[in-house]
Formats: sequence, C-alpha cells, structure tokens
Amino acid sequence: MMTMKKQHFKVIAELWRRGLLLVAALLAFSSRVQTDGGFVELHQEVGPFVVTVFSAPGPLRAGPVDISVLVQDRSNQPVLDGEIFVRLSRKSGMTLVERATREMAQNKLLYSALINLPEAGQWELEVTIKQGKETASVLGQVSAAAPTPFLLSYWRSLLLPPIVIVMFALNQWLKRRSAHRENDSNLAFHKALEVF
Amino acid sequence: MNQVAEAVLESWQFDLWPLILLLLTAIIYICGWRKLRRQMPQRFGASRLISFLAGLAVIVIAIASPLDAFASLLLVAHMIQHLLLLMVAPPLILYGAPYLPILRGLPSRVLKHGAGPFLASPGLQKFARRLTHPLVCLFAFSITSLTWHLPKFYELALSSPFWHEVEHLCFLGAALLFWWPVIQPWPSRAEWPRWAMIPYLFLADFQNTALAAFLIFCDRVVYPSYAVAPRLLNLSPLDDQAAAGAVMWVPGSIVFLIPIGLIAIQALSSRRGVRPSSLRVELPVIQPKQFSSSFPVRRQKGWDLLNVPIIGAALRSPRFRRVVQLSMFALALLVIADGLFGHQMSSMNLAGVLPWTHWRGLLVISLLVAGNFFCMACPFTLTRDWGRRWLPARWRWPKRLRSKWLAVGLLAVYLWAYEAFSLWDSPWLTAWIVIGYFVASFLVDGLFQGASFCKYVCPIGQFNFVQSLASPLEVKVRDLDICRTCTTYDCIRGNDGQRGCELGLFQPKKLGNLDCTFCLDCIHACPHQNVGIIATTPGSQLLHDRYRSGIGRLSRRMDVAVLVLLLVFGAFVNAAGMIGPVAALERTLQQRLGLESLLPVTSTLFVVALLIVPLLLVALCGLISRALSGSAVRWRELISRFAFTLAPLGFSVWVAHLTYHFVTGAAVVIPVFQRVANDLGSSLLGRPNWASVAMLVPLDWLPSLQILLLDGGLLLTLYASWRVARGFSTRAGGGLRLLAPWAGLAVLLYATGVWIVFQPMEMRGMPSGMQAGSMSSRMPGMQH
Repeated sequence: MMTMKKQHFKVIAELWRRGLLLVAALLAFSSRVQTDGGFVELHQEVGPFVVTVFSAPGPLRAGPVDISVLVQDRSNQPVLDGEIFVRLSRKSGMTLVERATREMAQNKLLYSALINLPEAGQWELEVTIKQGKETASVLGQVSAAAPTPFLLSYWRSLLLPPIVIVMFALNQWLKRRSAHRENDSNLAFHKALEVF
Repeated sequence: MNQVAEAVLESWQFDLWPLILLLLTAIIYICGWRKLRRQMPQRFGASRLISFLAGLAVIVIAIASPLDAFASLLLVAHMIQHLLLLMVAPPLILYGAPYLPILRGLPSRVLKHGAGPFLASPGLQKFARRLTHPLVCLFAFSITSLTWHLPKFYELALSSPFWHEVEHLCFLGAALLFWWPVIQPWPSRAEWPRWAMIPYLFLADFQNTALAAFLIFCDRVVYPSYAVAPRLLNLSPLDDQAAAGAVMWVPGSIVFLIPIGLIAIQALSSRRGVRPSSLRVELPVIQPKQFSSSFPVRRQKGWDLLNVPIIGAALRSPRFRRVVQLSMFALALLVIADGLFGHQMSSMNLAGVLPWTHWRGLLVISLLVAGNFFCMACPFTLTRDWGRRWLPARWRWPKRLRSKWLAVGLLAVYLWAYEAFSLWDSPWLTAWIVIGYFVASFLVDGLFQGASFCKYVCPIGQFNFVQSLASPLEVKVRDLDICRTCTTYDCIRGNDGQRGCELGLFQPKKLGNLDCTFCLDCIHACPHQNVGIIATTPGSQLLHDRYRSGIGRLSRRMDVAVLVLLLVFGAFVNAAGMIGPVAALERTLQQRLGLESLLPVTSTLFVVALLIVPLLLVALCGLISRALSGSAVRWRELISRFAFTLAPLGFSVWVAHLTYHFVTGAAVVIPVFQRVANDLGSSLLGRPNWASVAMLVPLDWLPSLQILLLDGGLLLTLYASWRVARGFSTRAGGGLRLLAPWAGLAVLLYATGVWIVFQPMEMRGMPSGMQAGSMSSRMPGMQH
C-alpha cells in the first residue's frame, strides 16, 4: 500500500516538474514585441540633440522588432517634428531602412519603427535625425538572437483550449462525484429504512 | 495645448486580451445587475453599477493610458499605475458586490452546468473561505507588494512585458483579496469583527509607509533602469524616485486612512446604541392576481430581436426588406458594370473589392454575431420574383434533385474555380458570375414552384444555412401552446396577404437555422404574432437528432452531412490556397512535371485536399470510432452525426480568414469609389489616395484574434462531439472511445488552421504598393 502511495506521489511530483519546465519554457519565449520602449540600446548627444534608442523585445530576436527613438534637445525637451530613419545593416551587405514615426509609437514622445529582422547576429544600427536644417546620426551595434517560434509567441491564445478542456474535465468529475455522493446517501437512507 | 502635453495625452494603447476580458466582465456584470435590481432594488442601486464600472475603468487607465507608456521612463508614473491597481480599482470593484451580479449575468446553462459544480464543491468552498480570511488577505497583500518592489523583481517587470503583466495581475489579485474583508461585499460574511479592520488597515499602511520612506530617503537609485532612462520633465533619477515615494506615502496612506475613519465612526455609533440601519430587502413575491395583469400572456422564449426598438419595427416591415434588397441589387449592378468595363486590377475595381473583401467579410461577421441576414437581403430575390411573374413557374422541382447533392456539386465547382482561375483577382469573371447568378435564379424560380433555387441550387444559401447553425439568433416559435391551437397554419400555407414559408419549414417543427433564409414570411404570415427572431445558444442544434421540419433527422441526411464536410474542409483549402508554402508547392510541382499551366496542378491538389483526404479521414474516424467503442450504430449514421459537429470549427476558419481580409482591406473601398467616380468624369468624391488606407483594428491584434476564433470553433466542436458521443453511449467510457477519433480529427484541423494563420498571406483587395510597403514588414504572418 505504501509503495503504491509512494509511486503515486512520484508520478505527481514528476507531473509538477514537467509542468513547471513547460511554464519556464513558455516564459522564456514569452517576449512579445512591444510597440515601443524596451531596452536602451544607445544614448548619445549629437549636434543639438540628445538621442536615446530603445529596442524591443529584450533581448532582441530575429523577427519583428521595434526600434524606438526619443529625440530631445539639449534642455531635455522632446523634439516632436523630426524626421527619423532607422537603418540596420549586416556585414554581408544586407540593409534594412525604415522610417520611424510617432504614429507607430505607443508613447507619442517617441518615434517608432517595426522592422522584420530576417536573421540573427550582429547588426549595425544607424539612426538619422533631421529637423529643419539640422541633421545628426547615431551609430551603434545590436545583437539579435534566434527568432521566437510563433507558436510560443502566441501561447496565450493557444493555451485557451487546453485550459477550457481541463476545466470541463474537472466540471464533469465534480458532477459525477456529487452524483455518487447523492446515490450513496440515498442508499444509506434506504438501508436505514430497511433496518426499521 | 502644449505639443508635448498633447503627445503625452495621446499615448494610449489597448492590448487585445485585457480589453476582451474587461469588456466581457462589464457586460456580464451589467446583465446580472439588471436582473438583481428588479428583485432587490435597495441592495443593487445605481451606485453599485457605477462603482464596479469605475473600478474597471481605473484598470483601463492603469494599463492602457499614458501612465503605462511612461512607466519605463518615469518611476513616478509607474508608481501611480501601481497605486491605481492596488488601492483604487479593487475597492471600487468590490463595492459593486460583484459576486452575485456576475453569476446572474452568466447564461443560465453556463451557470447551472458550467459554474454550478464548482460553486457547489465543498472543497472549493472551503478553499474560498480560507483564501478570504483576513490573515491570509493581509499576508498576500504585504508579500506581493514587498516582493515586487525588490529591485530584482522590479527590474524583471521593467525588462519583460510578460512579467510586467504578471506583476499587475499579482497586484490586482492581492489587492482584491486585501480589500475583501474591508469592503465585505454582499453576500459574504465577516470572519472578524468590524473593529478588527482598523489594526488590519494600519498594518498595511505601516508597510506602505516604510516602503515609501525608503524610496524617499534612499540616497542611491534603487532601480537601475531608471538611472539610464532618458530624463523627462528635467527630473533627476533621485528626484523621480523621491516623487514616486511621495505618491506612495501620501495618497497611499490617505486611501488606508479613509476606511479606518469610516469604520471607527461606524463602530463608535453602534456603541452609542445607534445601529446602522439594516437594509430592508423585499423578495419578489408574485401574487396570483398580479401575475395575470403584470406578465404577458405569452411566454417568451429568450431575447427576441423583434422586440428591440427601431430594429424590431424595421424587420417587421416588408418594405424594409425590399429596400435592403434593392440596395444590394444596385450594388450588384455596380459590381457588374465596373467588372465588365472598369479598371481590371482587382484591388482597384468594385468587382474585385466589394464581393470578395466586403461582402464575404460582413457575411461571416453577421452569421457569427446575429444570423443569416444576408439571405434576407439577397439581391437575387428580385430576379426570382421577376422570374415567377414573367415565366410559368408551375413545375415541381424534380424528385431526384430534392436533396443537397446538386448544391454540393455546385459548391465544389465554385471552390475549385476560385482556386483554379483566381476569381478574386478577375473583376471580369466576377461580373460574369454575378450575371450568371441572376440568370440562374430567374430561370429556376421562373420555371419551378417554391424557392427551389434557394433550397436546392444556391451555393451561397447552402453556405449560410450550414454556418448559421453556429449563429446566436434563430427564427422560431415563441410559444408552442399557441401553435397547438392553431388550425390555419399560415406560417407554411400563407394567407391572402402573405405567402407562407417557401422552403417548406413548418415553424412548430422547425429546429435550427438549416434551410431558413430569414425571409421573415412566417413572421408576417402568423396571425398570432407567435414567431420571433429569438436568441439561442450557438451550436445547440448540433447536439441532438430530433426531427426537423423540411430536413428530417440529421443522421439520415448524408447529403447535408457531405455539404457540411465540404464546407469544413473547403474552409481550410480556401485559406491554404493563398499562403506562401502552398503557392511554392504548386510552382515546384509545375516545374518538376514540366507543365506550362498551373491549372492541372491546382486542380489535382484541390481534388486531393477537398475530396480524397476528407473522405479518407472521415471514413477512418468512423471505423475507429466503431471499433473502439464496440458500438452497434450504423457507420453512415455515425458519420452523419459527427460530421455536423465539425461545422463550428470550419466556420471559425471561414471567419478568421474572411474577417482578416475585411479588417485589412475594408477602407480600400473609398479610393475605389473615388476611382469609379473619376472614371465617370465626376470629381465630387475627390481623387483616390491609395496610400492612406487604414485598417479597422490594430495589426498586432489580428493573429491573436484569428487564433481566438479558431479556439472557439475547436471548443464548440469538441463539446458538440462529446454530447453526440454521449447520446450514442450512455456510459462515459464508451462515449470517450467514440469521441476519441473525432476529437483527434478536430485537433488536427485546428492545428492546420493555426499553421495557416502563421503563414505568409496574400493581401487581397488592397493596392499592391500598400501590401509591400507597410504590411509585410510588420507581422511575419502577413508577408508575401
């Protein structure tokens, strides 16, 4: 009896361990693309501007990434009428250029561009700012890891059916248990009647 | 207004999941509150509703307003966000006494069969009692608050959107628990005496003050992310931190001190002998005399669309239907004219946009949220009527063709032609299809009696009949007792002023939406006004095999079952036909076989995917199902019954696919109409601007929405299969064995649907420049 109980506990412990591993794996891949914000990749003062470049997701992965730029003047006032271009290039010659706009950003003080990084590795990042006659560029490097599998990116939507199925199974189990209980009590009642 | 302030105030963003959950909660609460208010007006006054909705609004402000946008740049913004989630939203929500309104707001079946067993479970009741014990609540609140303010965890939340959401959920959950014994929402009972809430709140305030003081007086930046964040408002990181501490200290303490004061006043008043006035609750006792006067004589079965002001009146009016049909007829004429004579690029032509993007999208949306309203507005009804007027219309439809087999064949041909000739990409062909439809409806109903075209021929009608099995509205009888006393049967026979049901559906025996065109002739014909458009549980008609007027039993209608299967697998074939990997496979096969045209490859793949694979899969499921369960049910009957249960899954794929085109391409109709007007020499609508075509929903919502639709389809299919299996076998084990292969097939189809969603897709009905520029780089599931 004890051995069976121990085995039972072992199975439960193993299920818990696997469940936790699965959750950990999901969380590790849960970095969805934020529309802006994220990690500070660059912070430089160039010409009349103070430029901060953010990237999301953090850490950066190949696939859809968000590059957001906050442009401030030397008195830290946000510059809102600039033209911002984000250029990402590889040593192989591959180059991606996208215009960053405030419409794309959640935080409307920032300029944001959604770019589809085709491959992992080191990328040269160049952000060009134009405001009136002023032009400035900041340069840096970003490193992109392997892309997140799409299934894991959308695990929340995919988790709904298993959750509902588990709840349904639990519901059926509770129903059956209460029905058994009712049957047992009815049986006991009838047996008690038989005694009299 | 200052440009910067304007930009800050515009920084709102709504995430799909929280928005859906909050909206659903609000709707359920309002429904439940309305029911309870009728029974207990004193207990559920307007203040409860306002408080609950205000609580939800505060959550929206916390997670979607500029506070969220600036949370990673300013600690003070982040702290206000937390304060709203910890100290403002939960008491407001709990003051709304949400337990009963939410339960009453659920559909009665969900409450009884879904939530009921959980609510009645002694184990769960015990767990809930322990969870809401003040000691547990205080402990949960303190631990959650302290843990998430530790630099390691705070930084984790700042660096990952996922952990940030987990942090907010923890705050909200712990705060709801914390405020539970303080507010003590009705009908919960207090575990501790009321005065004990004073030290309870003081303890929480002490912890809050200690944390706030630490942030204010600490001489280093506690959270490193804010040290490297760009400076806004000219606040140094330390000033920002002190401001956050001050927010936590002062408003935070006030939130704790207000209930302390109120409880103290309450306690002192009761000691002086002035007891708080007890709330008098009048239970709804119905007197027999009142019953007859205050309740309508006819029992209403659920919510009736015809009772909705304006909409109900419009639907009752036969003229309204004619006006809608004429409008659709006019649009169809425009489609024909532009398709034949207009610009032949599909995305710039009315024939390339209106039928394939708008009409299909709106059709499936209306089927999903309402019912088969397209058939009601069908423009071909006019040509059918003209046919009857000008042609003899005296023959009976041939007996051999009185089934769905002809429609199955036509539908298969249409689905094949769609892929083989890229119908969506040819305005000219589209125009001819519409003309062909008009001619066919004119001839069929001009020569044969009844609505033979709708019942036996029209592929669109068959699509609508099958998909409306999952619709929430149904044309049905309000009170069967009235039908029992009826001797004239006007609903099917008609009368002098109104024809009866042309599709041979006798209302008292009609079940579900199969073969119902929502023409509302029965509603107009019924002299007792006993037919309505009544709310029903979507998919509920799939669960049983009762006799249906005009259809018979589903288990004996193999033709209808095949129609359902064709539409289910057709949904996948139609969606897969436009994704990159399938297009690449077709090209590879064409090259390997050395063919000049893609037509043979497309046709062969179509036959395999829509005929051979479904046939094999369904036959296999039927065989396995019988073998596993040892059931004596006939194989044909088994397949017929389970085929219907796949309908919701197929419908979800149609909706996910066609609404995707609709929401991404709906706005393109504006420049297309402008182009048509310009071509006709009118500059009234202005020049078309093809570049500024907006989408109806944020692009990043689309994949989640599509998967959500597939989730719904899968769950409804699994539930229907489970109920059908239980109908065949009363024992749970036998039912599960019967179900297993069909559930496996459903999961396989679901996985295929999810795979299709994530493949590069063509953007139909959109100008090509727009497709390449703005769509492909944003979402990987939408590249070309």
